[in-house]
Amino acid sequence: MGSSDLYLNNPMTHRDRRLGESESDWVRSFSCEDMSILIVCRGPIRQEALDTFAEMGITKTGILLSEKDSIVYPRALAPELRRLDPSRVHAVADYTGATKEDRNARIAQIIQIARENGYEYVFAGYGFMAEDEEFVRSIEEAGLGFVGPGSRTVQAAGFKDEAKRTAERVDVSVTPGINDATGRLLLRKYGDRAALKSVASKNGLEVEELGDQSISMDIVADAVLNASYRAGIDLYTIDELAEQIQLEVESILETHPGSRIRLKAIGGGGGKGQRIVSLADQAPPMVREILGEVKTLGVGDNKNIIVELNIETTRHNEIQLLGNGEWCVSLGGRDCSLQMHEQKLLEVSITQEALGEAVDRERQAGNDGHATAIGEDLTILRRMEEEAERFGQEVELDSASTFECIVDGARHYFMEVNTRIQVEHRVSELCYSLRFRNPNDSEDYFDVTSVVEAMALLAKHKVRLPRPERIRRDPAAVEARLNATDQSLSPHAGGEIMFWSDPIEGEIRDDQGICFKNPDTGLFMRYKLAGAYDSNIALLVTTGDDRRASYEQLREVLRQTVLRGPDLQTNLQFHYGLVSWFLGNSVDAKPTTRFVVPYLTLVGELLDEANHIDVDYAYQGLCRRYLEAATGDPKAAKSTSEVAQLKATLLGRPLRRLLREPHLLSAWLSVHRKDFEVTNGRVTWHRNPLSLLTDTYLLLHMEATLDAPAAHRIWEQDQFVLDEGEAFYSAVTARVGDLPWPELDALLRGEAPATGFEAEEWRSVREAHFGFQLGTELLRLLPLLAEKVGFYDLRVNADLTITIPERLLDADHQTVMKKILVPPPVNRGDEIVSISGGMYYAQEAPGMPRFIAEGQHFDIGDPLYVVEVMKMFNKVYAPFSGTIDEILVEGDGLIIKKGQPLFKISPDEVAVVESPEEVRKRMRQRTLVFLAAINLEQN
Amino acid sequence: MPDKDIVTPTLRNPLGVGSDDSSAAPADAGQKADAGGPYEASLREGERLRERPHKAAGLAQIGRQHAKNRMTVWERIDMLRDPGTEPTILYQNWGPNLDGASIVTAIVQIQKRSVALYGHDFSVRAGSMDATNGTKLANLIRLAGAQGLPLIGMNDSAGAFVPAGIGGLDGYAEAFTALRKISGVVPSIMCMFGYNAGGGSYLPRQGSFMIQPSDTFFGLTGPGVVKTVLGEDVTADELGGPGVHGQSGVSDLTVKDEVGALRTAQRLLSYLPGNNHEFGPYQETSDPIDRPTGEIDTLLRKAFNSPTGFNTPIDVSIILQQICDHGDYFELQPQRARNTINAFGRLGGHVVGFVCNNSAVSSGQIDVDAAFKNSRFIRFCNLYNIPVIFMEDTTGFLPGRDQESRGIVQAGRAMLDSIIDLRTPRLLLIIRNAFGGAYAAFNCYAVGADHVMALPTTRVAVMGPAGKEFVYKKELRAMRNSARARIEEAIESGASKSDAERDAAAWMKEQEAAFNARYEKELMNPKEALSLGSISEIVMPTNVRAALAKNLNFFLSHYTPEPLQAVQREFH
Repeated sequence: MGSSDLYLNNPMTHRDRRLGESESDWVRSFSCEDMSILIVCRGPIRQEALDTFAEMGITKTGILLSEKDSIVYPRALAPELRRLDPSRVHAVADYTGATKEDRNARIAQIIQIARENGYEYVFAGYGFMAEDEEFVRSIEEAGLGFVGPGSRTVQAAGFKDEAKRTAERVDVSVTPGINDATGRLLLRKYGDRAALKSVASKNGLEVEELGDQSISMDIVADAVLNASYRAGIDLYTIDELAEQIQLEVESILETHPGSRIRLKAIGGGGGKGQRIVSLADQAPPMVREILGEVKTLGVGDNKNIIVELNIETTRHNEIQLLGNGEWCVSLGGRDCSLQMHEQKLLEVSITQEALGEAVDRERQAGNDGHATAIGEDLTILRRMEEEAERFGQEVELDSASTFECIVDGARHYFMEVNTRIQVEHRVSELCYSLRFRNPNDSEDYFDVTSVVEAMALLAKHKVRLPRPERIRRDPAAVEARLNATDQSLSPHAGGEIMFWSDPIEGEIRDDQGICFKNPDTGLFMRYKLAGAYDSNIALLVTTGDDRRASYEQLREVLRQTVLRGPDLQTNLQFHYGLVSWFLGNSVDAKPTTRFVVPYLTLVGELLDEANHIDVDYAYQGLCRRYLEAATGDPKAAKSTSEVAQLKATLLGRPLRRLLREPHLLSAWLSVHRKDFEVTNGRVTWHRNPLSLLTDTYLLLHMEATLDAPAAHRIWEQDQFVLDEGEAFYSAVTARVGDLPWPELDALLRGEAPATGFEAEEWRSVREAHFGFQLGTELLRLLPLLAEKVGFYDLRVNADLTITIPERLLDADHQTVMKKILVPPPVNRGDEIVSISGGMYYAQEAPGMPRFIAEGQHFDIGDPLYVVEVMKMFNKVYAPFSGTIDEILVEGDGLIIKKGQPLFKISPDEVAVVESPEEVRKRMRQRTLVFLAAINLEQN
Repeated sequence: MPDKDIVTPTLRNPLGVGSDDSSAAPADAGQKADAGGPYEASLREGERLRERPHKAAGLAQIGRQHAKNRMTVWERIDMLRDPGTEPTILYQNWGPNLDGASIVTAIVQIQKRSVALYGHDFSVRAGSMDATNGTKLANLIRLAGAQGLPLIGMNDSAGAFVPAGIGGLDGYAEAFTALRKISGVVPSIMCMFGYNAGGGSYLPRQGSFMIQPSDTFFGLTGPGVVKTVLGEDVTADELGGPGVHGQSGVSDLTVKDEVGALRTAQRLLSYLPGNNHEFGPYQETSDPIDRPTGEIDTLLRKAFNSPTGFNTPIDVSIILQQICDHGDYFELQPQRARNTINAFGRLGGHVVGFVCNNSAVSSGQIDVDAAFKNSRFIRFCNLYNIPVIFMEDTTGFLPGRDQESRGIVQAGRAMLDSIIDLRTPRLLLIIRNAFGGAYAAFNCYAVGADHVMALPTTRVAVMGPAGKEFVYKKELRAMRNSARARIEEAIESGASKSDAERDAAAWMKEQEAAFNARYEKELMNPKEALSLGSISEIVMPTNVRAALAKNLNFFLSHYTPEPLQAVQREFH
């Protein structure tokens, strides 16, 4: 089947990469075919590496298989195994080990596996081990090659303090601030070395550094301070420190006017001992508070406070680097600001070419505001790329790494370097390839189109590789991380994938091989998302001629992706809504890292409102009004009633889905925001609601042309109405002209025939118009709902920043809306009873801690007790969250009966009992309120 | 004339081509009045007849079916058949109204196999049964039996058509009879759509497997009648929804919706032979049959070396997955009695039935539900030439008042008999526990196993640890006597009575523990069974797939798939 081929032979990612097949001697000399590589990571990168290495002609590639990939959960067997020779699969308990000792043992084991099986290289993808200096060094010391940055690079670029010093040295922009306020205070107070010496001797401090003229004064000051802390004396008063901090704040504010400054106690953590000030004279009182909070007000305590610029609206940008130790090239950037709880969700390419084109486009369109805003990003990107290459060169970067920055308005600051390939590397490799040219013959060259491929090449040929040029590929790329999360983006483990539609053209699906069907039967294999690792299922990547096109393609991929299975929950719909939101507002908008939670809260608000709407009741209400209007004309009444009946599923089905699935509703409202207007609580359409309905079916992936079961498509008789309606309106416009909808609507409702129509024909035209429009008022529920919620309050400004309404930032409101999106399991009772008869144990084994204690809180899924049935120890898990009030069974080995109360508990979520009648009544009342704002589309 | 401007709505395009035709609805698309002679007229009539079963219901009825989120029978067939193939519809216009009499019977291609298929057309008289369509259904069922085609039923019927009177009942009775007569000849899969009561439930349950989606009901009779005759207030879902039938085992598989049901039917069919003289569909495999099962080794090591030692539950489906080709298998009745796992899988390309004790649920004990679940599955494999691999890890049948009152003796007997009757190749792999009656009943050599293998962790014994009372009877009595003596001695040497008793009790507990340990060491192992020939060989955990495949291939090569010819025994 063609679409299945797309999965295995995707022209965007799969190609013959064998340099050994080239006709050029020079190119052939870079062949990698004799490499043998052990892959020691998992996730989508593992399958990608297996594919890429195979395409490079590398035949000997092995993987490590952990217990979680094989024996911990049924149906969670690593899908890669379906295609691998079993002798290429090597078992380990896990990839990293839980403790330091475990990890060392694992490193030794990996080296042993590589040696015993003849692997010369190790590839660690983006696993935990990839940037573990000890791991990389051990691999190197064992005489194996590491496909990734070497230990020297890891140390020079990956260690934060060292990286920051290097960054400052090569003029890379770092967060403004100081971390040696106390040292500077000492120097300000005592001026020179002699003064310091005298104060040290006066206090009886032995400081070696004081005698060494070669040591710089800031280090000497630090040494004196450390000696004073050891001796338990203070060399400065808190007032003096407060004054110093005030001076430092002043100095930063001078260079960064209008900013806020963060004060952070050196011994703080977890948000403690931090204050933010916007004026210098606010600092002194804060200093006391901070020190009090971390309890360092005592004599001899280290009272140092870090003073740095507070980054208000952070965007997360990063630069893809590749180097061989001698040269270092940038492959453009990625904007990874769309994330939640530090987990990236959507990653967008940024290249100078594409930003430049966007600036030109906006300028030509007269959007100077947008042009300036995008131009700002272009300037930042140019600087980041220059700095990244400089930095990479300085640390002799010898493989792939990522240079991470935060961007605040027109400024950017270097954060850290990840010395490994990153999940989102595809976004960059799709925008640029690397062309390696023979220095002696510029017509002799080869192109590398994959970061993984480049890493293998670099590992084998290192400095032999000349500095490559970067060649532009697709102008834009974007990646969505498909995760096993619920509607509120909380991890949801345990679901099973039973069906996953085949990829469409222009879709890259990195899913570690889940969609590789049973090689024998060709049937999709059930795959359990056990949640043993992170929640990521797959990466969906698309490209386009500009960012908008890449987003549109991603939206199309998300629209057409069908995932089914028991208890399966993913963020597919969230992504669909999010991408649609940006397409509806602006793909060039500059969301910050705190965009997603307010957005989710807004989606929660939509659902909270939609939960009160009864679509059937609303439709019946509309139909009743139509019938009332037809009173006195039995023929009209009969037809009205028939037409209303025939259109019930056409209108009701998509509406019900939109109101039940708020991410889809968000998508609809974002895409169609220009199709209507709400004024004074009344909806006016800007286009024919019937064609809007056609688009709605398309948006819901229910269009008639789908190759899908009838139940997943628009019903045939409903499509017939749409087709007939479309034919009618195109015939009408062919005769009356292409009028704007409100005018056309008014014309077709009027009794006076339009030019060229006979009275009789006009009557039938009016009857058809009335018939096709009948009931479409139901669609008005959607704009009205958006209006009620304030959906469009979240909006993109002229400078492409995003206004987040205050209410969406309220933490309590966010929590409430999260519970609307995913109601937590509730429990009616106040007891937990035994699930079976047997012998009760409060802990896993004698001598181990008890699972629970009175007063203790437990989360859903926590183990509560063990019941032994016929010499088998069955662990029982909490079915909901709550607190243990009382344990009713005492002692181990007690015989319990099925259904016997074991614990008195208070559930976190207490069921609110509402009868079905009450629910119906409440929904109908709320629906009536909406209905009141809807006029019939009739004179 | 009313004075206001009332418009009569229509859903027809008056400006379209041929718009003067008053019926633009697709239902009447075949009725275009073309000119021509009597020959053309008969062709037109032929076309109309061919279309009639598809269109007879009219848009309103089809809309009603769709409003319930249900597909029409034609849409269901469309989903089930192989793309690009045309179903052969049988008795297209049978019935006084020439509309197919609310049931469609057909031969369709599914996975390149011919399958007999029927489906009620709910949009015509609510899919009800009368004398006509009873015979029509029976004809299809008989055809399936005669041609050796598997049968798929898509049940969506309100029951007997009341105006047909006794005719409807006779219709059902004829279909019942036909289905019973092909039972054991060809396998059948019954999808339960909509709301089926009475005969509409019995008939499909005569088939091999039932698949039930959510928001459907079947049962003796609906909540309305229940309320009238018993005064019980109960919803349809509580009375006969998938939650109820999935738990009782009346539904073998429960799914989310119709699409899920039809996909599950296709999946299940891929393991079923066409009839009782064929093997299940062989599927050449790229998974080496001697692939080492190192994961089984890791699993057992991890479990048995854990703090709970040999008493640690294991999810046997992980072992099952390691054995099957590419780890793929299909579990039956997964909603209930998971202390036993019944599944179809392939080993070296051959379809195999797996019957496995699962210690991860209720210690893997065989209770009433597990026994009936096993017995039903084994009987199916027996009839349709499917070899069975048993995996044993159970401490026995579950005793107790609850089980006895539910008839564990009869249930356990049913399982035992089904195993004795099994004539297809049958292997046993003992994983750990095989105690007492469970050992004797669970495919040991004496009940007819072809080959019995055991992992080194096997513990075959007459009883669990309690067996020490019998094995060390004398020694235990001596020990307990000496405990009494110790009390007396202690009291004589000045200890208080309570102290003496406490000390003696502690000593006794120590001694009992030592006997336990000794019993486990001496008797809870495979040695005695090996020495008696009850176990043929010890299989190492890494070699499980290879050993099973080798034996399966051997016994299959000496087995001819043919109908079961056996004396009818008294019980099922």
